[in-house]
Parts: sequence; C-alpha cells; structure tokens
Amino acid sequence: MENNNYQSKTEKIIYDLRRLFGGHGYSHFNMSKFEEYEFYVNNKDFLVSDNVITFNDTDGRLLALKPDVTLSIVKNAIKEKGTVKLYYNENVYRVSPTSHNFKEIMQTGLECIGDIDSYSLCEVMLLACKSLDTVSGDSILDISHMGIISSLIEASGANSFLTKRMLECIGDKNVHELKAVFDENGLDGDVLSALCGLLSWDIDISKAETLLASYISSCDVMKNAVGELKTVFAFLGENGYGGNIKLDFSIISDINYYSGIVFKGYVKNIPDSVLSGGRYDSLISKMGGGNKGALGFAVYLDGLDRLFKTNSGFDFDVFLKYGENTEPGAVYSRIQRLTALGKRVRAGKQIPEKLTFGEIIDITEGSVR
Amino acid sequence: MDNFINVALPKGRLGEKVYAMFEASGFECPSIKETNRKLIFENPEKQVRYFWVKPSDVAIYVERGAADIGVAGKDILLEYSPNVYELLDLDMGKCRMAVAGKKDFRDNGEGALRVATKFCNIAKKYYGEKCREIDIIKLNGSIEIAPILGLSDVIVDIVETGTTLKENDLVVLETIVPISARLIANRSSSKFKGELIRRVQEGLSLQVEAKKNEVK
Repeated sequence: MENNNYQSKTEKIIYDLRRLFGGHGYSHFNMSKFEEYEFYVNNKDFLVSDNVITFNDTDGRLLALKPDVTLSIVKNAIKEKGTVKLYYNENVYRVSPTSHNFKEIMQTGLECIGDIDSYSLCEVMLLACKSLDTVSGDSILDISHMGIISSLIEASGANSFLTKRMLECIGDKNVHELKAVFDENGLDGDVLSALCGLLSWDIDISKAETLLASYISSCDVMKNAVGELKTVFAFLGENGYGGNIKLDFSIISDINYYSGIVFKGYVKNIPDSVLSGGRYDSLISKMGGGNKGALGFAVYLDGLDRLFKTNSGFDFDVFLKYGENTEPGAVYSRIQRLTALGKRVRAGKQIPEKLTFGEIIDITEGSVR
Repeated sequence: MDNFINVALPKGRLGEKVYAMFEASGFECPSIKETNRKLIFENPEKQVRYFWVKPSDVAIYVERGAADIGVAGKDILLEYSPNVYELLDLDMGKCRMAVAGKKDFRDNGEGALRVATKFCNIAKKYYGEKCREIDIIKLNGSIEIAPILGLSDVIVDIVETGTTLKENDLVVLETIVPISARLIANRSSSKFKGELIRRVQEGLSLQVEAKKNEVK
C-alpha cells in the first residue's frame, strides 16, 4: 500500500530529480555541512541573507552552517578544465523571510559551469520545467533576462541609488512608484514606457520584441538577450512546455551577479516559488573563474508540505495488540504476514492515544479479535 | 486552491471604502453588509471571498497565500517588506510618515538621536541613509508622549491631520514618505489566478483615475 505521507512524497521527488539530473549527465556533488565563515563574508552579496549561523571549530576556526550551495560548487568548479555539470541534494540554513528565524531548508538543484552554449542553456531550462513537473503537473516557470532589465536601466540614465529603487519597483510590479521615480528625476520617458509594457499582464515574446525594437537595433546586450529568450521559448514549446512558461520581467536577481536569463518556478497551492535559478557569469568572474559561464537552479523542498498535507488516512493501517504472555515470535510472525500484504503495522499492548489505525487486530492470549 | 479570488480587507472605515470600490468593479458580495460578527463572506456567482482582518495583518495573509490579494497601508509594506506584488496605489487613507518632536527641538548632530517609534525598520532606513546614529526605542502605542516625557528626542510615526501632534505640543520636523492604501497580491496566486486579479486591478484603477480627474 502506497505511503502517501509528506515525507515519502518528498523522498520520491528527490529520487526522481536525482534520476532526471543524472540521466542528463550531471554528477552528484556531495558537500560538507560547514564552510569557513570568511568564505561567505567575502561573497555576502550573493547570499539571500546576511544572517549566517557560525560556530568555532575545535581548532579555533570560525565556521558557518552553509547558507548556500552554489558558492561552494563554484569554488571547486572554477579550478576544473572544461564544462562541469553537477547536481546536489543538501540542506542549507537561512533566516526565513516570513518567520524571521533560522530554518533548515531542503534544497536540490544543479549547476552547469564552463561553456554555456545554446544547447546547454536550453537543456537547463528544460530540466527546470521537468523538475517542476516532478512536484506537480500544475506549475508555471516564469522567465526573465537581466540583460534586458539592466540595459534599459542604463539607458534611463539612472545613478546607482535610483537603479536600486527601480529594481525594487520592477521586482514588486510596482508600476505607479516606478513612474514616480522616473517623473521626479527626469529620467527617459521611452524607457519608462518600455518597462511598463514589459511588466504588463499580457506580455509575451512577440510583444516584448516590439517594445524593445529600438533598443535591439542599437544594443548588442539587448539583441542577444531577446535572442536567447526566443530560443529558449521555442525549444521549451517544442518539448511540450509551451503552456507552462511565461515571460515575467519582475523576476529580479542581483545585477552584480546575474547577467543573463533568470527564472522562478511556481506550483499551484504553494504561496512561494519552489524553484529559482539563473545565469550568474559575473559571480564566476568575481571568484576568479575568468570568462567561464554559469547557469543553475535550486528546487526548494521545504514548502511542499502544503501540497501533500492531508487530513484523511490513518497513521498506520493496523494496530496489532498483544498481551503479557504473547510469544514474541507469534507477534513478529503476524507482522511479517501483514507487511507482506503491504500494510503498515504497529504492535503494542495498548493502543497509543494520538495515533489512528485502519484496523485493530488483537492476538492477546492466542485469540484473534 | 479553489477558483475564488480571496481578498483580505482591513477592518475599519478604510476597509469599508475599499469594499465599495470592489463592489463597483463588479465583485459584489451582499452578505458582507449584514450586521453580524462573521469575518468571512463569499459570493460564488462572482467567484469572490472576502475576509476582514486586522489592518497590520493583511500583508501576512497575502504573503502566505491565505489571501490572493489584499489592501494594506504603505507604512506596513515599508516596515515589514512582505514578499508581495504592489499592484496599485488606491489613493485612499492618505497620510505621511514623519519625524515629529517638540516645537523647539533641534538636532545638533551630537550623540545618538533617541527615536521612539512603532516603525523601527522605517526609522533605521531613513536615518541610515542620512548616516545619522540613532537609538531606537520601540513602542506599541501613544508614541506622541515619548518626547514630552523625555523618553526620546523625536518620534517617527504616521501623521494624518496633525491634530494629535498639535494637541501634544509637537510639530512635524521632517516628512519621510507619503503613505496610502495599496492593492497587494500574492506572487504565486498571480500566476494561477492572474485573469481574476487583473480584472480587480483594472476595475479599481479606473475608479482611482476617475476620482483624480474629478478633483482636477
């Protein structure tokens, strides 16, 4: 009998993702639980949050419970020749944005570091779509491109302070405040129109291309970005995911690290994104990886309980009640017969108060009731 | 997730005005006007469900997906930075976040400025941008008496008409940011109920624009 509880469903997802990633040539990366705290201090802008759990090791080194996996993978991968393709299944420790307390977050994902050609990009995006599929058939992958956003912001004439404001507004789809930023600072109205258009509900590749036409013709970054998006959308459409992908330019990742395609995955009935990824060449460069490319994503498994939680069903299928004089062999023999039928069995002398059972079998003193 | 759009409304006068706008946009729910202590109301015909919540909790309901959309003050959004979309300024509940203090108070820049407030993050950010060292005193209410009793040098609080300040011999020293009611949406809901949320946003936006044009 299938165990439908949250834990087993999550384990199945992890197993399916392992097979998916392994089947596409990704090797498993097993990392240690701790890293030197200094490593994260030197790259803190890449982290989701400044807060890191630290402790002193027995030799006095200040270590951290890892808040991130990508940085550790990059640290190792940039030393390798050729393209490195790794997947992982790790726990990270971060402050929850909702509870504001530290939380252990189960995370599985992949990184592709090296020569990111057109096929590599499309493969990662397809794996992102398939990863969402393993969680739920009702999912959407939102896709954006930081090259488009950063080019438009540059064209607006904004300084670094205004850039930060604009990115906040774009990230929140806060068009009214974005307009205020432009109006109050005399920034380029054409850029504002383009941004407002990109943030509209019905944006698609064709409309985006029209909105950005004048920029495409004069800016290589823009031209390449739109080209990449078109390639990815066409490829995913051809592979059956046309209905599950959407352009959404409100996906904003740190402009200092993410230079290309960025994406987030959502599953119906889960209020937060369950998948997040992007192209982070700038991080590779900052960490001394030269002009290697880097692209990856993570699937967050801790929020899935909302999807799998059910109030129906029993904790166990059978409670096998035995008495003081019941032979252990008789108890175990009965358990074996029941588990062979796929039943989940709990044996004891008294029925536990807080657990529920499908049936109770009483073998006290040899009788069966 | 059913096909209803779940709307968190702030309890009180503002929430009633906001509901009127939803009603005018075609998302009426007549049972919400009945006099009783119910907190959840739905109209299956219009696929809408409303619930009254404490104004400062609207953003939490929306962020966590218990509500698809809601109306929250910009002060709450700035203080708690919930991970939501901010789709529209409803141009209602207008006031401002301000620094206030005694009439004769002057900040000479020496030592840490003692700031009493409910809005610690807003105060920290405001003074952080000015590189002014502050000592935050978190209070939960009656903030105005803090400078009068010498608990703080100034307060950071919402100011509407300014009457409360005036009656306590305080004045607005600096305006931090204008505040008003905002339509917010859960990010995930926006993917799966986008069409309904879009209709709400457009319906409310038309009324906001119409009101602005009337004023002109």
